[in-house]
Order: sequence, then structure tokens, then C-alpha cells
Amino acid sequence: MPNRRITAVLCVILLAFAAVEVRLLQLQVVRGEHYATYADRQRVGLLPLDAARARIITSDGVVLAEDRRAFDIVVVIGRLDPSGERRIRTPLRRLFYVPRREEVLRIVDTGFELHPDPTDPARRIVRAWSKLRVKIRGEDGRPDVDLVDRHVEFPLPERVAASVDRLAALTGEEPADLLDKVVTAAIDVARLRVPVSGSVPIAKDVAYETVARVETRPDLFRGFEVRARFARAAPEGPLAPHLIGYVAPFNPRDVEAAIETYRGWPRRGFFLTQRIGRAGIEKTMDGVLRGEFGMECVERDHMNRRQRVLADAPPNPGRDVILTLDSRLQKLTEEALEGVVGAIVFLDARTGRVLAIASSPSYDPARFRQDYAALADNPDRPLWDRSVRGRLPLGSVFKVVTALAALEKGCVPASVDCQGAVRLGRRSFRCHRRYGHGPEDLTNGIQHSCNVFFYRTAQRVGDADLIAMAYRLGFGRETGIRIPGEYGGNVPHRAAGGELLNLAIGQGKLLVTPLQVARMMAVVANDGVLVPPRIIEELRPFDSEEPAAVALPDAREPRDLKLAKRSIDAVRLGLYKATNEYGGTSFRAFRGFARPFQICGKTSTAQRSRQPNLGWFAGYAPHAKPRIAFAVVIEGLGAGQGGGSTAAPLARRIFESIPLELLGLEPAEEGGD
Amino acid sequence: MLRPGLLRRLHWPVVLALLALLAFGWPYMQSASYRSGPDGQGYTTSSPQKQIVWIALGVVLALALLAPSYRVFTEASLALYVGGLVLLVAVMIWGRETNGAKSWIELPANIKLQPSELVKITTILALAHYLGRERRPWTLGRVLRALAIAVVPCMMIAAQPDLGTALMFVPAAVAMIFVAGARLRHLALLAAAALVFLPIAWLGMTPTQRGRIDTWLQQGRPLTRAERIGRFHHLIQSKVAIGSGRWTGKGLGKGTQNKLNYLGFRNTDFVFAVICEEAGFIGANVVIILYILIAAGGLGIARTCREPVGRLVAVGVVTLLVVQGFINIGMTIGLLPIVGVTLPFVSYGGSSTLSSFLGISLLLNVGLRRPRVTFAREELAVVVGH
Repeated sequence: MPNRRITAVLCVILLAFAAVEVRLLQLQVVRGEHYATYADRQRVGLLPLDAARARIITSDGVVLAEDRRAFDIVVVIGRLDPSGERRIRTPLRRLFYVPRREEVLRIVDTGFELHPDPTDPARRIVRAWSKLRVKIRGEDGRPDVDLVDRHVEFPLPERVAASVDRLAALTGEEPADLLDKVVTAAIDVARLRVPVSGSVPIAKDVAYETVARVETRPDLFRGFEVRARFARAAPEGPLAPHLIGYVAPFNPRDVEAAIETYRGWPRRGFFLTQRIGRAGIEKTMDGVLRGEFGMECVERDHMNRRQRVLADAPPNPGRDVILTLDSRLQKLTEEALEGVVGAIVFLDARTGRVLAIASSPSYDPARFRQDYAALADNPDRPLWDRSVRGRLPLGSVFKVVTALAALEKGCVPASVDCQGAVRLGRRSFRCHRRYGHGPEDLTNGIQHSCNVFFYRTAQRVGDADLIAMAYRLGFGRETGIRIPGEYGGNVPHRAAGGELLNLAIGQGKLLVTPLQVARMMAVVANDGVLVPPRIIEELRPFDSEEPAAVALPDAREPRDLKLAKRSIDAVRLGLYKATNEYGGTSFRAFRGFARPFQICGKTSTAQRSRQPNLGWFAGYAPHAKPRIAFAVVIEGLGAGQGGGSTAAPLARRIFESIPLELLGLEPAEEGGD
Repeated sequence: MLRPGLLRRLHWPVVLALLALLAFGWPYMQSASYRSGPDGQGYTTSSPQKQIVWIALGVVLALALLAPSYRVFTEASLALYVGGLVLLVAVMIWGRETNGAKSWIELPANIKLQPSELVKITTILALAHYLGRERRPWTLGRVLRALAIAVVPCMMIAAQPDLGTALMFVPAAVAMIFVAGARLRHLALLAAAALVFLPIAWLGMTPTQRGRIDTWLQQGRPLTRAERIGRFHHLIQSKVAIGSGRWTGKGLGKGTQNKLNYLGFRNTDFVFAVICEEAGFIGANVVIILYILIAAGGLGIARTCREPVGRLVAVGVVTLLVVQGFINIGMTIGLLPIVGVTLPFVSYGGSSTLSSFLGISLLLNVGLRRPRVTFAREELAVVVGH
């Protein structure tokens, strides 16, 4: 009988191992592929490799935006000194752990305080708490939801505190601030918000000495590591911030747009920590500047430490964007605008290249994040790029359009007697000179900016032809320059009666941008060619001086408006006299201008309902052989101020120091003058 | 008393299976002793070398203990049993807590001893001695008294708390009582009583132990991320390691779950998962077949041993080793809840290796000196055995 019982024991043993065999077959054979995939997925990481973003450079070689290496210090809770790590994580885990029969529904709140140890002031004590919404199985077996408060108190491990103190001494930050971040990270790990091996930044953009110290003495900084990244920088200080724009981390909201934009270009797209151009050239040329990111396939261990690289595809850097901007003129322009609200645009009159474009007040892109609240609250709206987004009434500068319309139609009155006002029905349309200018012809009309002359002229031209001419000269639609958010302006569809008179002098519903005005002046300056304003000169291979440049394809062509030479000459004469002859609206501003060229321009004082007036000065230079066209606008004029007393002097300040070669003149000519 | 002729009667199938198990298991234990570091700069711990020392000590000890007859030990079993209980009390007082259990005593010269491993053997000796000498008919009281011999150390170990080691006593004791000839009726009654006892045992468990069982029961349901990296972590990583090994494994030293630290406790409790990952289904079966060979050989010794105490010692040792192996394998594949039990002769660990060798030594000792039930010369065989 005992032998049969021993056989029975053996049978039970065999049965048990048969169960093991069945389970092994299930795991290794039936589900083997699933588990193999699981193992590979957790061990292999596909990491994007960021390329340095390409540079933005002016036509004269000044770098306006480039990438530099920035270093952050991060804390990895799982790699703190082992004893310290346990002494932080074990008590903190108690905050979020409940007995098995209960279930945490939600962590309502959690926080901590640091106190000095009463027995030893050098040591610090962490008092942390949490408030949990917990489902408890009650006495009767039915679940009960309850709020539970948890408190833990433990001394901060000395080695962690010592590392933080060393870091604080190196970075110059408050030790308490750094400690706060470390404990916060530990709490986030304890509540499983951050993996144990996750890195949490605690000091951003630290100095090289700090990096060197932390990297060379890992034993003194266990758990603290250096992470390198790229940061956008303006090596020459902030120049043309509105134009350049800024970059910001990729935002989940961008995903849809990115999928659409980069369909079929997988590596042209984004990875989630990448920076994306948010405004200005950084935005419009984002794809060109960013290039293609690389990919790295790494094997990592349970702590997310990389073990080896399995495969990689290096990133393809983008291409440098060369702007048409001239840094000297841009600097002059921004200096001139300092302290006023307004905008200035300088164009190459023959080609439409933007030489300078500025809006004021401005901001420093490097401090953009910190200053954002103040910038957004400022009533003068520093973030608003007036040069292409401004919705501005133009005023008398529009008389150039009225004049051209009349000249082209051949209906310019030989002379109009200005009595200071024109009556239309029961309304009176005034000239800015109360007692009138007396008899005025076209040239005088422009020179003196006589409203009455242009009222009468517009009545002869009619609204259809006047509006058509405004459109021909580029108003009422975007210029198509590669600056995001450009405003197209507004030209009324019809203008009857009083509206026509208002339109004749650029008031009423007409709205323009400074860029459109400068371009209109370029048409006058270049004998009637409507040039498309361009801001991108060319693209160059990243970080190279070679001229292996590519022009950016541009569908817009210069368009000859086929204006009669006579018409343009007549307007030019008026603009010349307005600036250079006694009685001209900007004569006073330019009296005694001693550089070897003459400026032609038209002022205006545009009115806005319930808002201060705007002063404009737009024109071209030099008079003899026009090379550049410009528009200057100043907002918020006081009583008695006009374009002639505000915008024109500002333009003069720029012309006083403008480099002569921009005007097609030899610098030597200046000495001989 | 070890005569030269005796060695020839060593039960060679068991010995060879044991040597094969040691030779097959050690490389994987060594592979499992690698610890990864940053940038692929990992290191191998010293445990493979230490394990060689433990194995050598175990072999020497096992051979030395073959010299006296197993009767010497069974006769002294009361003293050994009480000594074991004293050690268990000592560990309660002076023990060192590791992984939440107070089961180690630290001796001078940095030697750590796990008394529960030793107590497994002394309990089997005592039980065999008690059951084997009794000639009176079986009563329920006798079954209960026999069970008490095993249950007392079992409860003390469960209180450490080391549920895995404690659980191994029960099947071994039941198998010994069963083979000793207890009435099936009494055993059925005991089984019914155990069913009633289960809820009480559940209440007596620590939250960690209950959590382990809960985890085991819930392993099939969809998990949240927090659960995957939390209480289900070891089970999932073990199953992934085993499953990803598939038929032939990834090759010795090439298991990613192993080398990249995803699997925890892998040169001790989870060494079987490493074998499954690196040697696949085939390698796992090598281990299982070797265990079955040892079990079959060991039970063969018991079957041919006519002397009741020796037979019971053999049954106890075999069930103890096999149950320990089964619990270890079962927990790595999710068949049983995770409890800290080593794989005999494969896992790293001094106390467990020595106690396994002690057990094997007793088994072989019985095999050497069994009064054989052989053909007609039965009487002669009994004389030879002594």
C-alpha cells in the first residue's frame, strides 16, 4: 500500500508540472510574439535628434537670430543617492497609498513645507500632506466615498541637501527655491505623475562653469544632471523683433495643422518637444529654418538610461534665411522710433526689397516670456506689428492717388479757388487752412495739401475711377510679403457725395498699412511699376558663407501700371515742392537738410473718430534718381501737431545718417557738397 | 561507517540529474547577475563566484553527511527540531529585516544565516521519526499531532513574514502523512478543515501578502499605467521575459529583460524567468525534466526502502524540493502568487543552497543504506543495510 501512495505522490507532482507546461506553452508559444513585441517596445526608444535651427541674416551679413547651446540642470529622483532616494520616496509614497480594500479616486490636493530642524538648525524637515478622495468599502459592504487627509514628516536626507546647496552656490539661485523644486519633483514621482527615471528641470540656462562642475564631479551631485538643448538667441541684440518673431515649444494644438502641412514629409514635421516659429519670419519660414529632424533608435534599461544606439538618421539642418533688410538702416529706423508710437517702412523703390521695417513700441524677444503679461496689457500694444498689421487711416498722402486718377483720366482742373471749405448739401467740407489757399493748381495742391482742390478734382474723376486707381496702386489687398498676419487694408466699394470727398483726401472708410503706402510711393518713384515687396533675399546652406544660395520662388511679378510719364512727372513735381519749396507741408521739417540728395514726400494728418490723430510722411529719395521709397507714421498726435511736425522730422533724422550707397550715391560725393 | 562499497550504491540517476541541474543553471544565474548602468557601463555582481563557493561547500557537506547513517539524524531529530525552533525564536529577536521580512540572522564575519532553510530539514527529520516509529493504528489525533510538528515552525516562519517558505511545509507534511498510511477519511476531513481555515488565513495575512494574492487573481484584466509600474510590475516583467523567449530563447547572456534590468530579483527568485528568456521553452523544459528526474529518482528510493523512517525522509525531502521548485516556477509564470522562494540548485543564495544539499544528502543517505526490498534475499538485504 505505501508504494501505491508513493506513486500517487509522483502523479500529483507530474500533474503540477503538467500545469506548468501548459502555462509555458501559452506564454512562450501562443503569446510569444506578443511578449516579444512588449519586450522590444519597452527596451527600444525612438528619439528625435534636434538640428540647430538655421540663422536669419540681413543682406549685409548681420545675424539677427541663431541657435546657441543652452544647458539646464535637471533632477532625476530615481538616481539620487540611493539612501537619500529611499528616504524621500518611501515617506512620500505613503501620502498616496491606501490599503488594498480602498481605492484612490482622485488626488484632490497635495503640497509640502520645509522647516528647519529644531534640534539642528542646519538640517531641514519636510512636512508634506495630501488630500485624497477615497472609495472605502464600508461596514455594510457598500462603497463609501470619503476625503482623507494624509501627513508625513521626515528629515531631508543630508546628501541631497548638500548637493542642492552646492548647486545653489554655483548657479546663484536661492537654495530654498531649488529644494522646493526637488521636493516637488519627488512628490510628482510618488504620485506617479513623473517616472522615477524622468528628468525634471530645476535650473535653466546655467553658466558653463556650473556645467563643468556638475559634469566632472557626479559624486557631489548625485541625481543632478546636465541637459543640453538649443536656444534661440539674437547675437546683435534685438533688431526687428516684430519681423523676426519668436519660437516657442510645439503645442498640441499645432498637431492638426502640422499633419496637414507636412503630409508625405515625415521628417519635416515636428516632434513634441521641438520649437516652432510662432510669429514673423520664424513662422513663415519655419519649415526652411527648422530643416529635418533626425531619429535615433536607442536601447534603454529599466531606468531609461541609454545603453547603446541601435540605428540613427542624422538631422538635416535647415537653410539660413537671408533677408533684404539693411541692418544699418534698420538700426537707424528703430532708434528714430524710440519713445513714439508708430511704424516705418523703407523699400528699394525699383525692386520692392524691404530695407527696413519697424514698429514701435517694441519688445525684447529674449525676455518675451517673462514680460508677456506687461506686454499684453500695454495699451500701445507692443506685440502689434503696425508696419503690416496696422489698420490706419491715411489722410492727405492719398491725394497722390486722387491726383494720379485725375491725371490718367485727363480731368485735372486747371485751377481751383480754395475758400477754405466746400459745401455739399448741408455739410461743409473744410480745408485745413481756414481761410483757404486761394487759386491752386495740381502742383500747388499737392505742395500745400489743399483739400478743396482735391474735393473738386475727385468730383470730376468720380468714385469708380478713384477707387480703381486706389486698387491699381496696391491698396485694398495684401502685398503678399512673407510676414504673417498682414492686413490687406480697406478701400470702399462705392463713395458717393460726401464719402467721395472724404475718400479724395484719404479719410472715411479707407484703411491702409504703412507697407502699402511705401509701395505706393515706390510706384511714383519708379515710373509706374507696382513692385511686390520682398523680405526674403535668398536661402543659403546652413552656417555657410558660400553663395550657393537659392532664391525663394515668388509668384508675384512686378506689374507696370502703364501710367503716363506726364502724370507721374506732375505728381513728382508736387511732392518735390512739398518738401523742398517754401510753403510745402514738409518744407519746414527739411529746411537746411545738407546731404547731397533731396527728398520728395507728402505729409498727412489723418483723423480717427474718438482717437488721437496720426501723422504720416511718405515719399521717396533721391529726387533726381529715386532709389528708395518710404512711409513713416506716428500715432497719438497731440493738439496742433500734424504729419509735417512729427513724422517728417523723424524721417529727416533717418535721412541725416542714411548710408549713401543705399540711395545709389557714392559716399565721396558727400565731402564735395 | 562509510564503507568503500557503499559509494557504488549511490543512487546515480539522482546524482547525475542534480549535477546536470547545477551545470545548466549556473551560467544563467551568472547571466542574471549583470546590473546595467548608464551608457551601457554595467557590471556583474560577485554572486556567481560566491555561488560556486556555496555549491562546493554544499557538496562537501553532503558527502560528509553521507558518512553517518541517516538513522543518526532521525534519532537525534527531537534535539535538532527544538534547536531549529530556538533559531526561529532568535531570528524574531535579533533578525535583520530584508525586503519586509525578518528572516536573517547576521553572524560575525559577515555571514548571514536564514534559519528557516535549516528548519525545513529538521522538521522533516522529526516528522519522519514520529511517523515512522509509530506502530499503533491511525487515529485523527495522530494525524493532528503529526501535522502539529510541521505547523509550529510553519506558523513561526509565516510570522516573519515569509509566506513562501512557510507554505512549503504543508505539502511536504501532508505527503509524508499520506505515505505513512493515514486514513484517507482523516485526510479528507483535514482538507475540509483547511477550506474553512482559508478565510481565517486571509485575515491573518499582512496587507502586502494580500496585495500579492490580489495581484495574482487580477492579472488578466486591463491595467492602468500606475498599476503596470506599480504592484503588477514584477509579474508583468517576468511574463514578458518568459514569453519573449519563445521556443529557443534569445541566447545565453542576450536576454534583454535580463540584461537591461527590467526583471527584478532575477538571480534569486526570478532566475527561472531568465532561463526561459535566454533558453526558451526548450531550456525551461530541461530544468523541469531534471526536477522530475530528481523527484522520480527520489521517490524510487522511497519506494524501495522498506524501513519506514528512511522512506518518509526520502518522501519529505523530495516533496520539499519539488514543491519549492514548483512554487518558484509557478510564481514566475503567473500560476501562483509571487512569494519570495528560490529555485533549488539554480538560484543564488547560501542558506537555500546549503539546505537543498542537506536534503539531497539525506535522500542519498537513505538510498545508500535502505534496507532493500529485493527478491528473495530480503533478510540479507536488511542486514547489509545496517
